[in-house]
Amino acid sequence: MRLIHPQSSPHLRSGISSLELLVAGVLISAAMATTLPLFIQHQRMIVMTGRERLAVEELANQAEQLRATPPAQWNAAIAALQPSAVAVHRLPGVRLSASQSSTALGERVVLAIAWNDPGRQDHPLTLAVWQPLSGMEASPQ
Amino acid sequence: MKQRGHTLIELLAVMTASMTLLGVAAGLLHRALRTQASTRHLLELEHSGLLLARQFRSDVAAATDIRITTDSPQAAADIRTPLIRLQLPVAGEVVYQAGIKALHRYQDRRSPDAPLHEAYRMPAGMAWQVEQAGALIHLNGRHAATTQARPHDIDILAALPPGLRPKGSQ
Repeated sequence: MRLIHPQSSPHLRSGISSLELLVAGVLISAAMATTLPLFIQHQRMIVMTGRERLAVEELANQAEQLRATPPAQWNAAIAALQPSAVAVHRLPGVRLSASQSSTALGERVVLAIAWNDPGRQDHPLTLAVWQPLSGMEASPQ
Repeated sequence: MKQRGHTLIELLAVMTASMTLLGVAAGLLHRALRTQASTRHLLELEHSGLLLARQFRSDVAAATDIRITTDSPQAAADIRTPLIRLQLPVAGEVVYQAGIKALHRYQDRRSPDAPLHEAYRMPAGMAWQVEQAGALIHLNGRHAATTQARPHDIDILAALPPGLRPKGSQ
């Protein structure tokens, strides 16, 4: 609001013009429109970060379960692979999959987890578990 | 009609508008600061959980002897009893123990990659339990006040070394 001293202007007036109101309204709206989406996006990022951590832990736990299984039973263990109850509860639309391949170094199983967050259906998190050929201990990478 | 200065109504209107703007700005600033603090806290907890998982799995994989010392959930109030004792070739005996706002790891001897004491920061009021599940050791931390899953609950599975069978609670 602009205050006009009576001696400095030939026009005497009181109150606020529509233009001033409009400018003030636009400025406040612009400030709110900039800050509110930031808060919303921030909350969403916190939730997504928590889900990422949970997904990493889920993959690591599944890898440890696979390591604790004798290699002869890996095929059956992979066929029976299921996400844990916590992952099902906290990761919306969670899908756990595994692909096994034989390499010159040994058996390699790639575990993949995907869930309904932006980008996570197309680019799942993956973790590889190895069963080396020559008596070396398997380890997740 | 000549007017000098401002009317009381004009002053009141200006003051009200200024106070409103100041209030909105202060509210946004306060919220931004609180958000920053809570985000830092959350990220610390996330990071701490990942570090704990890595260290626990590494300890179990390297252990030559494991003794699970409690078979019931250990709340922060009962922090004198260790959860699990592991015998490691380099670090000597390693002990995991619940704390008020952390899970502690103590070891006998200094190894090149770990200090003698580490505290993994966790939310207050967690109850901890270690149990054997087949060829796995399961370390889990739950909020003691609720049975529902919470964002910072800890579930860590670690594969036992081949042939090693942990000893039960004594």
